[in-house]
Amino acid sequence: MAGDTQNDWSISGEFVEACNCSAPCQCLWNEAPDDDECTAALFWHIDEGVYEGTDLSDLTVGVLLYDQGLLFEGGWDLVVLVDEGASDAQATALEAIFMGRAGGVMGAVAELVEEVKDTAVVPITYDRENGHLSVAAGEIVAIEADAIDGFEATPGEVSPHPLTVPSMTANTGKSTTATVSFDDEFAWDVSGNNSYFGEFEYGA
Amino acid sequence: MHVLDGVRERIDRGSVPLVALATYALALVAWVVLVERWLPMPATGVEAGLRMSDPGAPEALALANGPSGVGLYLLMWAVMMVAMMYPATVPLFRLYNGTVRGATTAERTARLGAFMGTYAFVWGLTGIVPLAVNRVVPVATVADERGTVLLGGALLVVAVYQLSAAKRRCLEYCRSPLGFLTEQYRPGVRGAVRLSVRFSVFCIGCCWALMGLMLVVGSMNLLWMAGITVVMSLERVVSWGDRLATATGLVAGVVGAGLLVMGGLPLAG
Repeated sequence: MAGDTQNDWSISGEFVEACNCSAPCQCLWNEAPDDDECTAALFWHIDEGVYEGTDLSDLTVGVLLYDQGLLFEGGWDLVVLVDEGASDAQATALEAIFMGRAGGVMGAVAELVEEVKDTAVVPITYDRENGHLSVAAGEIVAIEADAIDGFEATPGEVSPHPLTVPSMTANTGKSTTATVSFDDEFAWDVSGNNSYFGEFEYGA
Repeated sequence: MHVLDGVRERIDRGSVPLVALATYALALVAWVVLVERWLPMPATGVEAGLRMSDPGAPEALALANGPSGVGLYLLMWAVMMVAMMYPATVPLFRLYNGTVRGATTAERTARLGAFMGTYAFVWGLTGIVPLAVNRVVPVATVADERGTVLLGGALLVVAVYQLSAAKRRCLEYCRSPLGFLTEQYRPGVRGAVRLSVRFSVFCIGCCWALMGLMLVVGSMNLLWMAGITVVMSLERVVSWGDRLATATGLVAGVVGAGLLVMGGLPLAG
């Protein structure tokens, strides 16, 4: 029993989120979302990752989020989507990390979660090419998003962004497609709204 | 009402958070230590009639007693910092506790200890400032002769800083502990120390003017200590904290200007 290595984990890769706010989403300024309601789908594509010796590379995890009022005041309802390609050990590891049980930044964020409504295993595809993002989770989620330019036709960036690597910036984007259909609570079409994407790096 | 709602919500959600209780307990112990005057203080070399709560008194005592005096003063100052600063920092300590969720008990204790200890240590170091100031200007003497002008001037400094952009920026950081954590988080005990140092810097940036007031009213003046603690805690924790910061600045400005006018008149003595 090597006690101090038991909870070692680190993952890094790319994230994308698509929500109901006009681009860009105001939660980064600690303001209420459009219509005081936040509906968002977030995906993390892990390029490199390990959890207690279990390799997590090339897996993707999705989270469907519903919240009212200020996002960072908490009260979130979540559905966690785990890549069908994950083995049992990998799926267990991903759930432990993304539900905050394994600590790290996700452990802090878990304070904001009111309830994890469900966890589902679905096929997830993730593609990013030339500023275009394409994510699909079975029949549940479809996201197509593009980077949007800011002033003087320069790619828009935001920093700090809570999901991205410290000291790095996230790209501002706009979805062309952003639909979710899981159950009554997690069903929306917020196409044409905010999308952020960038790189992440978490660990305990 | 807002305050009560906030408190109730916090209690509901966390189901008796251990870290919060421990933090409040530590702060309480620090208060008791200060109220009961359990800390030893060298008492030689200072004129009779000077009480510990008088402006400049503890600093004068410390400086008159060499290294041991300075050491004891810094210890007292650090205890005071724990008493004043820990209550307002509970939200961040609790969030940080979430980040060590998966760790073993030993590692959790080490990291939380490093995080909370570094915070107290950095704030404790700021005790060098009142000592340095007293070395140049004996506050006890000045307060004795021109007390009204001294307090008025200090309140004006508070006013200017409370209304400044720098204060607003630091307060924003202090008010969104999650944003701070996600941005600055690094794993391990060293990560905890680094995170804590960074947070302390913003915290000092946020509170130095209000804390500076202690130097003028007497660094062991419990009444002012309590009042300033309440203001600093509310500034950070409640939703109207930023407006409170502005209001505090305005009140300090008006009172400070009033005191300066009064103190400037020859009949005020």
